[in-house]
Amino acid sequence: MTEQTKKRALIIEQVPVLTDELQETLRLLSTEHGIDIYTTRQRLLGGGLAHFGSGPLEKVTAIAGQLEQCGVNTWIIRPSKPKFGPKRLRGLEVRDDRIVFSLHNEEVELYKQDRVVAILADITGAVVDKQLKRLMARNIYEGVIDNSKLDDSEMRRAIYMGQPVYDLYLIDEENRIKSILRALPAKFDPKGLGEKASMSSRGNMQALVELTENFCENFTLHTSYGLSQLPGCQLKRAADSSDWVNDNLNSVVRFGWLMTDLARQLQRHRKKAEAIDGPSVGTVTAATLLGRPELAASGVLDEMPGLGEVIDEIDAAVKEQPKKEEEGKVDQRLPQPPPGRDREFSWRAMLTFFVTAGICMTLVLITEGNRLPGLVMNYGVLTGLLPGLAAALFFFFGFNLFLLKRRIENTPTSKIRSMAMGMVEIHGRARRKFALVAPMTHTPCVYYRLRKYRREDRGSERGTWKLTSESDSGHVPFYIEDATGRVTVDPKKAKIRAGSKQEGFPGQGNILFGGGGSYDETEKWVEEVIHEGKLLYVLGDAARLKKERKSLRERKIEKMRELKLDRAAMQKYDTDGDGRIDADEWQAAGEDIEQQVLHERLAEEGVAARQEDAIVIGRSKHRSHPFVITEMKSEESLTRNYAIFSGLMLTGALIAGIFTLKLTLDYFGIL
Amino acid sequence: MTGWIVLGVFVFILVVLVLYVIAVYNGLVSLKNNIEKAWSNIDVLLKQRFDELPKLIKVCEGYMQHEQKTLEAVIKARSQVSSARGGKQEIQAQNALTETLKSLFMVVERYPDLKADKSFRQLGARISELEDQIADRRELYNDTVNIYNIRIEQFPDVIIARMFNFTGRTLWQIDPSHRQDVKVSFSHM
Repeated sequence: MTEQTKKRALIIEQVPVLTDELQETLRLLSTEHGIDIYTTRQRLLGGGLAHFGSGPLEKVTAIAGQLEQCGVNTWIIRPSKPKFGPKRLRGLEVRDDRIVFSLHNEEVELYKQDRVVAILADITGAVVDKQLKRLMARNIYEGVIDNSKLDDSEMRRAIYMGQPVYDLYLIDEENRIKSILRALPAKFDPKGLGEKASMSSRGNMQALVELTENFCENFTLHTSYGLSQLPGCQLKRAADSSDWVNDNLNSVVRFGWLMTDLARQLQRHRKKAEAIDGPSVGTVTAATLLGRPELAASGVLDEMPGLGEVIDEIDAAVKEQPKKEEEGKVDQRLPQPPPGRDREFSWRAMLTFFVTAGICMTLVLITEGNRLPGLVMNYGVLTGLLPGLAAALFFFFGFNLFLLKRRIENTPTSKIRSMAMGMVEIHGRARRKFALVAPMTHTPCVYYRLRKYRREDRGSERGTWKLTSESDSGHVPFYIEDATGRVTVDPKKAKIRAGSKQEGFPGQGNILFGGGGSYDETEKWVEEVIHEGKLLYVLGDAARLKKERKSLRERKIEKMRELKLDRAAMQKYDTDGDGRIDADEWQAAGEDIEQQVLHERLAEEGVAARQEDAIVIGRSKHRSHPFVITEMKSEESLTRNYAIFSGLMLTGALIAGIFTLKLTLDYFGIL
Repeated sequence: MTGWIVLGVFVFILVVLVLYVIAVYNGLVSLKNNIEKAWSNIDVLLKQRFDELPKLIKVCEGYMQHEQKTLEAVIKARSQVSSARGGKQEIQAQNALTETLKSLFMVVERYPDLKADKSFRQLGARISELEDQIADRRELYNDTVNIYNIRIEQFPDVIIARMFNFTGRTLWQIDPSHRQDVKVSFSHM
């Protein structure tokens, strides 16, 4: 088997989002190399490293080249099998030129110039999961499109909060692993950390990581264990295996060996890159300024006193440029959702409350309070009053649903481009106008409703869930778009049916509540969400937004006032050059400003007419007009649902009516 | 007892029936009005197009000295729109105007100076946008008419429709000549 035909593994650094360019490359790879596009897409997306595939060197190199062109970092390696495992660290001693690590029966010395590959991992996986989801939520869903990685300090903090493992791979001059050390919290003597030693085992662990990182000149730390999709390095959960701790400790070792393979390859890459790139921009600039361009490639300039710093500064400035461009991308983020509005005062709600309270108080006073519920139930059922009330309610809601169904059927679907004002029906995809994220699942959404329940632990209702609070994003507008355009929808007071419903407990591992580990089982959260991109049906009232704006006269006066304060601008109208603005000149200025104001107004109107924010679909002023927002497969399925519910309610009304009739007749002895 | 229950059920069904008839009747009235509204909404855009045309012709006149025939056809079609009376006549006049406009834009291809004119480009874009919107609203109008026509022919709505003389409405149709295949010839080019 020649070097070219030997199998190599292609490792890639995953990206949080697939760009158009990357999608196109995947399609190309699928055609040229027969790679399954869906599998590769899955492997490319994420926050760690992934095994993209294996094959002969030539083929793998070609694929890696194409991926590198799209900005994906790749490594071609021949994965080495772990030949030995780590030895447990017991203590350490820091000397001037080295750190001496004490193991079971031996000592290992780490010198400043030694090459070290370190792995900091959390073996519970919960923290890593949380970080990954947070990354996805922030980077993909909140509208950021640059390939920003997990924040390193945040990642480390999360690992320390879990069950951390710290492995150090010491590599010799021949690129071989000479020894592996493993540090576990509270399993080594922190005295050697000196002033940094503390009572906290995790604090000591952190101090050890920082010490080795700062001490070694050639140090690489990997924190992506668990996030990476590498063969043999999968993280196991407590639910997967009874021996998950040992399984994960072993897979951390496999991960460590793979990372040393990567480190070796990375070094080769760097050398190659330097050779290809040639002298830096700073060196070339310095050589040109000195009038000796031939010195740029010699490397002599870097050694010259004072010139090295200048070259470094120029190189740093060049490196800074792309950073600034990336910072610019942040502006593409969606704006933050507007703050929630307080509940509006409603005379109707207030009247209902007082009438109900009044009736209840009267009944309590008449019937001596404590006997009221029993009496209401007895007489209500015996006389047929309560079943009658139920029949009326069933009938009311059933018939209303029937009317709504007819209304939906009778309303044709408008296109957003040519939508007329008034009652409209729109089909389209939901798009966020603000960076709204569902509070429980941290997924991007255009609408959410969160209900919090608490479990009763006393009395007759023990074990049942009681609704304690409810919140929604009804105050946050979103867009709906079809093939012809997009328009704003204000979901306030709409009848909303979300397609996704999830339950969770605060602190539960697989849901992002900010914590991890154990969770509170006495509280339950139920979240209904309309995710971004879902197909929506909207039936509502389209209206043009009226913006308060100054009249032409007001604008003109304002501009004239500004002109008076601007001496340079005033001079323009001083046609006779006498240093004063006479009546004729002042009139000319006024006419000019009038024209300017008129043009500005026309330009604003032109822009406003094209803006998706100029028209809003919302609740009509007429209360009888429906306002429905629902996730649906088709209009037919929606109306079918309404027909079923309406039919069931009307049948319920009929049954309750018959029952009422029988009870009433019995009670009054008519039969 | 059974007699009372039967009576009760009968009353319930009667109430449901009466409410159903009311709902269907109201639905048909609302559909009929929706058709009028959809038609008026097209009119709004047609009026806008009508108002933009003199500006467009004025811009074109300066460049298209040799295309008086085309321009006159547009002007004539426009005046026919204003003098048209009744739904069918108006539809025909509007269709004719749309066709003459299409010919105008085809002829414009021969005048690069006119195509480059800023005012012409703005007016052309505005009229094209209006044409797209008119097409959408015609579609909506036809959808509304279609729903209405189906409703008044469907059972049980047909009974109420006949009782209250709801009659069918005509869809917006194009000239039958436009359904013919387009002959493409490159010989004269």
